[in-house]
Amino acid sequence: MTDPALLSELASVFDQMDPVPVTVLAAAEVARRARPARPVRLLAQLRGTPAVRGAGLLTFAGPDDTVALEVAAAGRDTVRVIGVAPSADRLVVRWPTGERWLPVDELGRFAGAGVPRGPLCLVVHRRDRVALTPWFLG
Amino acid sequence: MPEPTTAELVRRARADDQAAWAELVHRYGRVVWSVARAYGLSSTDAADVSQTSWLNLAQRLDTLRAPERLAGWLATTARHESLRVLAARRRETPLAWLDFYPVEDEHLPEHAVLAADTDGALWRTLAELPERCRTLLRLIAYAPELTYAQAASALGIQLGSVGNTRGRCLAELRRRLSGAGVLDGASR
Repeated sequence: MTDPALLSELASVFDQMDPVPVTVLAAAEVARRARPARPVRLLAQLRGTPAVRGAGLLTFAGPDDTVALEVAAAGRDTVRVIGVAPSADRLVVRWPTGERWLPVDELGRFAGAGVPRGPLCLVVHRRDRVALTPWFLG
Repeated sequence: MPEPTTAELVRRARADDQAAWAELVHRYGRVVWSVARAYGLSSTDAADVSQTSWLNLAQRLDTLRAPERLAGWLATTARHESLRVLAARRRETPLAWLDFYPVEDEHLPEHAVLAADTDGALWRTLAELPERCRTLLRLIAYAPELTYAQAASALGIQLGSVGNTRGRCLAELRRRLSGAGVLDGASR
């Protein structure tokens, strides 16, 4: 048996030992549809202690926009996001199956509770442009 | 008809071809998953890492610079996301070579009904190999096109050890399979 043939056999055995859950593949298949319809600017993550189910500051920035936020566990299945996006007229928090507007005050401060745990993305809206953060775990 | 190349699938997915995107997921979903598992993540965390990795690809697909190297991009992304989860859990583990692999009980080999065929023998033999062998062999079995540098980067191991480990692990696997009468010992 050649190496490629053996590796191919191995792949199918690994699939049986620790299969990728069907739900994981299904979520990945719809991921492309969840992207915004119009062209947007993707912000870069500057720094961040991870925001994974615990408190931590994440910072994202592009040429004209910055977003800093903290994600804190709020319930069993929800988190609370709080932060500041000075350039935002309006702000949306998005998750794979939905999204919600977050109120922004005149200084760009925002907060929202009851956001589903899991992958999140912030969408910064201004009159003339839209900017997105990469997806992160909240 | 030959299978479309990864670069071709990326090109079609960029043009909103959902079937092409689904084929990319089918082709590389296991790569992302196996990297998360290589970092010792639970099913739940590995599912989060998978989803975040694919969502980020969806967002960046249009500007991806080298579509033919998608497997490497995904493996690296999965590594970053896995490290974030680990760091958040404040139980960062030395990543040189992980000695654990939290496979759920129902997936443990001894709990499975083993087919009395090559797969069954392979399964038992794999379960006996060191964890570093399983981790590396799994990744390269899922994505043979990964370069050693990409595999090293995805698993957080030294580049120089990838080729050696791959060779030694495959040789050990063959030796044990031959011993079990599954492989012709001379075959290579």
